[in-house]
Amino acid sequence: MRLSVHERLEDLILAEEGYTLVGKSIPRIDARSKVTGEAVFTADLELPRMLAGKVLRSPYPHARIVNIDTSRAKKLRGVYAVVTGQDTAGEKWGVFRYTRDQQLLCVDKVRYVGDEVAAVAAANDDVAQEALSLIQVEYEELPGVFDCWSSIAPDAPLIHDEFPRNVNVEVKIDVGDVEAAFKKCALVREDTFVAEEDSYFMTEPYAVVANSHADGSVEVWMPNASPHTKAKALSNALRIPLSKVNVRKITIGGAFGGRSDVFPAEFITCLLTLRTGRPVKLIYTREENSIATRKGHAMITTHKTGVDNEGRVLARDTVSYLDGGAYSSTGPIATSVPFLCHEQTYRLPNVRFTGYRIYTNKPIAGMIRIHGRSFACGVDTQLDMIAEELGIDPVTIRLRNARQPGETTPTGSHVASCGLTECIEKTAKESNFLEKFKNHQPGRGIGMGINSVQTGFPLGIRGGSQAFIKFHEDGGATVNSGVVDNGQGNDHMLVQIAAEELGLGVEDVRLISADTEITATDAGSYSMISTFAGGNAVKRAAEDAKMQLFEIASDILEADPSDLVARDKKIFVKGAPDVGVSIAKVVRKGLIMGRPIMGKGAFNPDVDQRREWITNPKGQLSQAFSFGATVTEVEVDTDTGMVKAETVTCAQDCGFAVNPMIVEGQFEGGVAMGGQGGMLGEEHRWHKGYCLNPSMLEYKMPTIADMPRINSIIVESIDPVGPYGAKEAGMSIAMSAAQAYCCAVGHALGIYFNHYPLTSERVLDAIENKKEGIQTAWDFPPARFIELEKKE
Amino acid sequence: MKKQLVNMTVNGEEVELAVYPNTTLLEMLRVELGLMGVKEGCSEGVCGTCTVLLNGQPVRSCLTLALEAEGSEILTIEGLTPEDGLHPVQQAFIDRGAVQCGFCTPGMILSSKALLDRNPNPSEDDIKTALSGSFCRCTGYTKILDAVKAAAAAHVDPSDG
Amino acid sequence: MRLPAFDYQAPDKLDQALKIKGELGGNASVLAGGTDILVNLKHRLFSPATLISLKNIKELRRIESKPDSVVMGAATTLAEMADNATLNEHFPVLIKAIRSIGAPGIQAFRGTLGGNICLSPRCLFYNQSHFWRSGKGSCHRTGGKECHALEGSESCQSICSADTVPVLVALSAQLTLAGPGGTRLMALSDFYTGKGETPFNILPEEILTEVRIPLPWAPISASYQRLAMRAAVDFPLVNAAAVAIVDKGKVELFRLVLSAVGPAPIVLKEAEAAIKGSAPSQEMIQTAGDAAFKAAEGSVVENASLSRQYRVKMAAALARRAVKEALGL
Repeated sequence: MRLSVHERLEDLILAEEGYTLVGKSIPRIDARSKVTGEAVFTADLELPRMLAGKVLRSPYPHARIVNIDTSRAKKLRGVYAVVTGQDTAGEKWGVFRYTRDQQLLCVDKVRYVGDEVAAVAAANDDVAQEALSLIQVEYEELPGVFDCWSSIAPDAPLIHDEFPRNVNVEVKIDVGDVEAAFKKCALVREDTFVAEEDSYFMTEPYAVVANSHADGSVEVWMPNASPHTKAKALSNALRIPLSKVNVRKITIGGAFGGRSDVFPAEFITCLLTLRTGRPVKLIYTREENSIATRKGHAMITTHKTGVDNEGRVLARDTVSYLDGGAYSSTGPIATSVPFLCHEQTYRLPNVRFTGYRIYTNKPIAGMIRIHGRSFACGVDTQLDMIAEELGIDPVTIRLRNARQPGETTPTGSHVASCGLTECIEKTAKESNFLEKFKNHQPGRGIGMGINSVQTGFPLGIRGGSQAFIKFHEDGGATVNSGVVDNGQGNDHMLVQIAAEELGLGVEDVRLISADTEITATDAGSYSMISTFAGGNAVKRAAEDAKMQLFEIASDILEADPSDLVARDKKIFVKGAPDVGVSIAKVVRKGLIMGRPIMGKGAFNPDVDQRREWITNPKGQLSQAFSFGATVTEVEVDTDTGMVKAETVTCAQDCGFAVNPMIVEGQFEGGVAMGGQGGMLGEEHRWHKGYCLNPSMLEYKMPTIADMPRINSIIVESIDPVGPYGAKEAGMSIAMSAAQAYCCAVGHALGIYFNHYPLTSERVLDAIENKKEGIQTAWDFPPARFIELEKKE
Repeated sequence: MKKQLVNMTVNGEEVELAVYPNTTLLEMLRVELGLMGVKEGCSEGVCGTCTVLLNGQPVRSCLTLALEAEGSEILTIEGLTPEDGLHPVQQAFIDRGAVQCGFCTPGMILSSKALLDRNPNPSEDDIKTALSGSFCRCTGYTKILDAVKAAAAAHVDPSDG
Repeated sequence: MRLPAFDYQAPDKLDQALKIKGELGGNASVLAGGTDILVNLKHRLFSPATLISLKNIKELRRIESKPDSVVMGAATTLAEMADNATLNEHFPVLIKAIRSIGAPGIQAFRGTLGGNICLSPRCLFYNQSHFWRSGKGSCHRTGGKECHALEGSESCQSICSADTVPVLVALSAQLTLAGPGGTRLMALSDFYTGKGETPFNILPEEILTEVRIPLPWAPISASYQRLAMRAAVDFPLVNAAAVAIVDKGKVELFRLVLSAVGPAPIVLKEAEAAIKGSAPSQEMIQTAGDAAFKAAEGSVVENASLSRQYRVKMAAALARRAVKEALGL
């Protein structure tokens, strides 16, 4: 039986007189174009005289570029442009001013297998490929480092000269008095958890189309999680005014964190179109998508945790090493987020976190949906160990430590709404957790994970969202918003909200979005902020338009605007739907009166803009936080170590489900990516810096035949600020699913796993070398404080 | 390498094209015929986004030479869509929330259609097997499974028992 | 990813195909279904000047029931085999193996029996793009003298990853290889050289045309075991097949084949000899497991999704399971 519990607060319905559209599972507005194949993705774009772009990449993990000779490639018939680092003046990209370490085309050195060295634009793919083979690059190979431990060794080769011991980012957080608190603890334990790299494997490989125009502007299409951020970066790098870099709307085939950053590809494609005066299309192969966009971080985390005799965490001291690959990317954020999710989830009166992001000669690591597997799975695994030691069950120990509404996180974020306790209780009840946990059958296990994520970060001038609404003569409306849809349903969310407010059907509302020329600034979809900020901005624009409609309608209906209601394409006095006036008529009247309806709305989250990832990690991080709990039930084949997940029960406090069907889809996708794939099979494997499994064949993301039954439970805490109370959907399930799978396999075998993912090989190894007592399966050297010489 | 003629029926229309032997069916459909609903997700026959129906059977067009499809009937997502309305599988994918980013959707729908044509009343395992060659990264497959079940239920004549 | 340039011929008759192959030899490759070769061409693992398509040669696409055997044309698709009544009646174990290949969309139309038998042996250091391999330098398989998977190895250790192969070897299948000078028969077990760089005992002028499975003289019980990291679209990490005839409480025939452990399937002859002639017993499970472990230890290298050590252990585990199921233990 598939169960979908969608409970609504009765009193809320009464207070709001019921919503007509939000809170309902209305099919997505973009679904039709996707089931007919009409939806245009970047690679589907065809423009007249378009050229094919291709990138020449470093075949070595670490090498000096001695010479690049492009003369033969340039002479090849059908080649229109060849560019190298010499054409870019060594322009560097970095998310922050202090992390600008990546040359958009390498000039002096390559730092990973896949680093961009040169690019061509040619008549077609075959000519472009041949041109690449004619570019002669002379390299001097350098010794490389491929994991955190060898990279921080004092004698390790430096990947970037200005970063001693290859430490790229250091995040330090220290709240309360950790050492003093440890002394008061009934139990203190330290364990180390290791996770390998995971990756996105969105079905659409990365692609860019760029076109330059006579007025000096460029248009760019590409899968992205923030058109405005991409435009800004391109404007800087190309030295073209921001208003002339027009990132266009395009259908996007998944992101999961992997489309957030700026890549050399879009810069290169722009450079090629500017050089040739012709549109250029660059389509990544699946391998390029794997190695030359982003991937997750491999991570080593040591948690030292002290509790009182009831299992309440009094102090935690955590050190994490993140394998960042060759460049900074979103390093300061990536290093912080695993801790931040954690401090939101659990109460921590005294906590210290020291996070190091370490350079290696591997592809660049970025943000991913299940960010920090070793951190999160380590926390929950260790909590289960403590619970066993104290004779407490996993549910109780989580409830005792779970974040409550109204509290403040250690780094100073007020948590206005929080349904974590409800998520824990509901998943435990629905899965019959305690009975299954206690009546343990050999080889079968049940585990719980809990987590929390943000809705946005302090992003300064690009942290908010604005929206406009115009009306058509027939009473239909067009919404204009900067929010981008990566596939999760943001476009639909905006339309469903606007239609609700305006009393229209979703079919009456059109949307223009994610185009930097036409739509106003938006934070982008990468910090789970789209519904919270973008949804609020559209809601406010719609309310503004509605007030304008009501003012005009009040003359017609001879009623006070505050007594009016918009519903079913009509405006009428509350309680008298039969004597209304059509919205179309009001719109037309407004046109005659010279008062056309033009709704505008904006939303900027109330966060502490002084907060900075490294220099000032305190203050309000996000205005709202989502919370989730997942319970997984597994069966383990103890001969092979293969794990079969049978049932997953997940609950998330998403604030309010604007569209429960879409929210459930996010949960289910989260379980597949975070739990089934993320915890059982997905990892990148390496050989001296070469990724052994860049392909979908060898990277083991799950198929439909691998998936367990999923029960989704929507919990609604009704956030005071989110639109209708909505926050974020899905990511905290992806994370808690990873933790739940991990704890379930552990429970099945009586083993505490500390190396992820739990491939059959690791599971079998742990079974064969099972330890006595409450210990992790493997002994890893702990991550410790790194003494760094002060940078000058 | 010389171009060779190839004849086939694509979405009910007879086509004759001159293609280089190294042209895949995927490239022919996308580049020559503009059928962009056929997606290229991996180019190695793994992801299933390039799935089209060849004589009613799902095949990976990225691993099929255009010349090898000589004389066959090809159906792409564009050809599945009736002039009015939608195919029941398409409708079910919309109604059940089985569509997120949409990149895998054409392949999923065509594989589902082929299954239901062959087996109008499939079990859950039948559906899982039939769709096991198509990867979706967004949905966790739950709603795709629901959609195919719903399409099957809508298809099955209740009088059939 | 684009395919390299090649010429394409699709003769109607086997004779014509053999004539072309005879003239071009190694410069021509046979295109059966293409699911394997086209990926390899995209990766530029080899570049034949000509592809000879078998699709128009009807005689290569048939399943024929003979009094003493079932004969299949090499271009018969996996889906046709899986749906075939005779094969389902006599060799359900083969159907199980076929159903585990790729996914239905690979079994239909494209994947063929001959293609599976001639599946290019796989290696994580070989089945990569041209770009990927360019930094590592060539290996035994690509004209070099090194093995990136096993330092110092004298030959290529790529993995025979076909699902049908251990089953067909256990069923004592025979191949027909046709060349300009006529045809020759070969036991499938002799077809694999054990060297990844030249994995098959076939001349450049020859084409694999038929696979023959002899009908057993008594009802068989059989097992096919494979281990993979996901339910579909995944090559086996290890696979094993067992075929037995148990008559009057005695194992009268016993075959046990291990595969995906190296370039060739391994017939576990010692275990077969130890098991044949006796009444089925629990000890046989261990005997088979030990034999498989030993064989795998001498064969498996670090070149697949999971480690050598794990695959060796799994070879033993799958052999045990195969024996258990085939002997009804």
